[in-house]
Amino acid sequence: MKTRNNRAWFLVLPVILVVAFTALLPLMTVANYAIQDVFNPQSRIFVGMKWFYQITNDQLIISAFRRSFQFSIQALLIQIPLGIAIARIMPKSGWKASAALVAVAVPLIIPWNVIGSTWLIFSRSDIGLGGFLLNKLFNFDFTSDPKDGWGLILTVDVWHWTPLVVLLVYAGLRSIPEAYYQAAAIDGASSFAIFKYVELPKLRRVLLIAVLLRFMDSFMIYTEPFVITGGGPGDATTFASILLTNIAVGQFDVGRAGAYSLIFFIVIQIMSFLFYTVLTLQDREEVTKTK
Amino acid sequence: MAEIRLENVGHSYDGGTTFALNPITLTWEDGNAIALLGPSGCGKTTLLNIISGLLTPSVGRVFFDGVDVTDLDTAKRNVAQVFQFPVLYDTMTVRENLSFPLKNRNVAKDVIAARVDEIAELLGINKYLDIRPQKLRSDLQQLVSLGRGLVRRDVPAILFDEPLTVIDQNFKWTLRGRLKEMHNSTRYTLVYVTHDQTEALTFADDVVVLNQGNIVQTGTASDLFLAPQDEFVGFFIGSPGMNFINASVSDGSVSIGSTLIGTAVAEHPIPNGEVRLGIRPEFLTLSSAGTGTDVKINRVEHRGGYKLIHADGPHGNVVAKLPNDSAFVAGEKAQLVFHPERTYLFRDSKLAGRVSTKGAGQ
Amino acid sequence: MSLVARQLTLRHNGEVFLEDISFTAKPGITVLVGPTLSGKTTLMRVLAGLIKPDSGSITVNGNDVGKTSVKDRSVSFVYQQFINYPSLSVYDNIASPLRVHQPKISKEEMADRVTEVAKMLRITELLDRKPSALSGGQQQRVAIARSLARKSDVVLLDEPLANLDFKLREQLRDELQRIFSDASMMVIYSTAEPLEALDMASHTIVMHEGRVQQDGLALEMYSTPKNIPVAQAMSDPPLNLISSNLASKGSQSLGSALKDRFNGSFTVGIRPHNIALKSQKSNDIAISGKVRIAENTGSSTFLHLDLEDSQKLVLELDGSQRFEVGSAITVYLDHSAVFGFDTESGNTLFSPSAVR
Repeated sequence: MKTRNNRAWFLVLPVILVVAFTALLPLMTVANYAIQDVFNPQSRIFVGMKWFYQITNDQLIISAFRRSFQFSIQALLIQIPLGIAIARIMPKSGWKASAALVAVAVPLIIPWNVIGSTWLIFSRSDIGLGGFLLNKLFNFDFTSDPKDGWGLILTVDVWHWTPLVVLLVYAGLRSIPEAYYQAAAIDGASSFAIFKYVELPKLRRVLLIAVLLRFMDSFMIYTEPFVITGGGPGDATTFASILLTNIAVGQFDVGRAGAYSLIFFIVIQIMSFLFYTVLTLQDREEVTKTK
Repeated sequence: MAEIRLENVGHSYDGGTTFALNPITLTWEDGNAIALLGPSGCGKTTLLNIISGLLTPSVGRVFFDGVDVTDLDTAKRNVAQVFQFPVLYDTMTVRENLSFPLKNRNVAKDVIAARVDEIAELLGINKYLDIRPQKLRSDLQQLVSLGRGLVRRDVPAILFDEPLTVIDQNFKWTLRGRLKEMHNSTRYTLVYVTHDQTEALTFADDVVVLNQGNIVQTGTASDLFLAPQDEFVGFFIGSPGMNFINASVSDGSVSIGSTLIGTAVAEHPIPNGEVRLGIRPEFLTLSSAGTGTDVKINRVEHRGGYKLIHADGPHGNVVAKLPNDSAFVAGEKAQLVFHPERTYLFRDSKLAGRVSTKGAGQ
Repeated sequence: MSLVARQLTLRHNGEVFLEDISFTAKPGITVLVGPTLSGKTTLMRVLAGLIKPDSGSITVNGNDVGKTSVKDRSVSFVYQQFINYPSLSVYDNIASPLRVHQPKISKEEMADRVTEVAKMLRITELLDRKPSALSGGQQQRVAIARSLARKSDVVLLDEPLANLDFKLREQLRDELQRIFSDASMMVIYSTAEPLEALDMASHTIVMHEGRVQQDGLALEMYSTPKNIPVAQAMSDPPLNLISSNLASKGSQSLGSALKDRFNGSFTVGIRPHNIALKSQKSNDIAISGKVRIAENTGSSTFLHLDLEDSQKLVLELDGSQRFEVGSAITVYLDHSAVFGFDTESGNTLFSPSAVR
């Protein structure tokens, strides 16, 4: 009788193999590098925790992390409210709803480097449609002005990822039973009151997912800055991941990069944990019910 | 509070193929408590939603105090509705939940506070006023939801959609009584949907019995119990419902099989032919001696305060409600004794008359 | 054949769900009665193996099933919420436990069993339909048919009629009683309605706050409950509970009128239908009150009275009777139908001499 069950485990084997090759083994490799100084593939020295001490005092790296953090926060502050606003005005059912969903999802299905290239050309102050206009009006030039470079990457990220927030919030809104809206109408609640007292509370869990996902992804942002600004002008858009790649691939300082990667990993874990704890505080309070 | 009038109101959910509610016309006076009673799918919730404005009827018009409100949505009709399961604002305390409908209408703070206390007292939730409702059990949550529906005074009607479903059995009794008292002292127009006849019958001045989208009978609890106009009412009202036995009428005499039961009494003489004799278990007794319709007892159920005797006869099974001291046992033979005034005759499911058993052999 | 539960206990986060539950279920119906939150559903889940108890054992036909996983146990479960496989037809729904049965069941035997239970539950015409096309009552019949087709040793029904409307409940109750009494399995049926326990007229266990309060025949528990929770669990409408210190016409107090049963101060219990408007026996106990409301159901009238000292009394009278709100009235308690309970512990001091 037991044999019947065990066969099912073999179906899981392919997944285990894939995860092992794409995640576990590379992680182990990185950890291995992190404690060595690698000059070239043949020549390495064990250095223990040297890289970790060095990184925590390295101004370049610290600035890169700071930039990533600031970027993430700004991205969240724009994308979450904007996503909610768009989701609220989308049609609720019928063909219009499907059409709206498709239109909103378009930015999500474009390959990231294509997004980068398109925006790059669009934003150029000499030949870009948008860039030229903005240059004439506001002297916009992302290749020379750090603020413009930052603003551009932020805009690209908002354009690219707000749809994800929209889709999540839209699904969340559809799952609110009609009775709550009916009761609110009966209670004479204004549109804003409905948003504040019916929709937001019921969207809490969905927003948690949206915030965590967006935070992690925007903190690790790589492709768009790489393609559009290359980390510039200067180091205005040199985010943590850009700097890491420079060190690992550009300088082939693999040992240092390995340690950097692990620290990066840990920072994201901690931040996500903090976000999660704060946002689920209310759920834990509800667990104890009175009789 | 308002007079509610429906003119030919009906509704179809599938564009006219089938009507969940067939067109009806009725008027409910201001200040009445009305119960809509019927089995699942009878159209009672559809009717309630048409009155509240959550549903626009496919046909017909709705009037509050003579004003056509059919095209107005719920908020504009200003009705209050209580749902079957708790609908609460999670981020507010119980007190804030109860105050919400009044705050939105700019009622003065002290009036709100007094009203909230009054309603909380009525429902027995005053000690929970400063807690968030999610922390309460579901039946207490439903009370908060109920309270929010009751808190406004200036409504044409308060509508209830099976509101006591999640309430604990014992507390239902107390709560029903309190709602009734509240109605007696305030005379709000209340429309109450339920499938529980005890709730409907005790609560309402008028009970509307619905079946398959049609109103079968409207009346007080006594009307429905003692003078059912339709077999469905006889069956649906009463626990257990009415017994139906095949009988025949011949020149004014009513017989079951070859046994004469009595004479038919009716406004219009009943034509000869098949009828169904209807008698409630409360009015049917058994005797162990005498002549009459023979039956064999097949089960005796002890219900605590009374016994239900199930018996089989040649013309159907019957149930009689008898006191605890009755001595009948399963397997025994007995004769049916029909109540002289409460034995009815039905033809084509409609009430045709009754049977007077005085003077006939018992 | 038997199911023996021994000292089942389950606690979580400081809350007691089950405390020291022990009982024996024989073939036929065992009814678990109790209010919501008394632990009935938790107990059902433990018996099915869905939850592991903190301590205690369950023995089915002599075998301890504690270590057996749920799917290997011979148990079926019918839920309150008519649970059926939505994508399968009624026939496939009923046959589903038979398809995964070990040892294998032949196609012919499967067909036989399905048609047999479909006939028992009167759903033969519905076999081709999907559950979504059925009414609530029909869906529940399918769920019950599925549980019967399996012919498991234990069938658990968790308040199966609670989500059905009033009349449907009455009809199904009758049928279920017949179907499950014939079967040679141990059926455990939980309900919050004492009437269902009395209808099934069999082994009844009253639960309250996670404990077994009393175990025996339904009628026994109705007429000789061990304590107030049992008395209330078996009373619908609820039992009236008033203080023996209340004044009574003709004697000093209720307590003194009942001196022959108990000497001292206690809580008097009396069912609404054992109180009358006129004195019928010489030893009827008179009590005065004021009419608060009268509820008329057509077949009876529930009269709510306010007594002295903020106490209340409810009477159940035959037929429709009118009363004036606020009027003073004297009512008479049937001496032989009175319960006495210890005010502190709720334990029964004395009960009526016969079923009243």
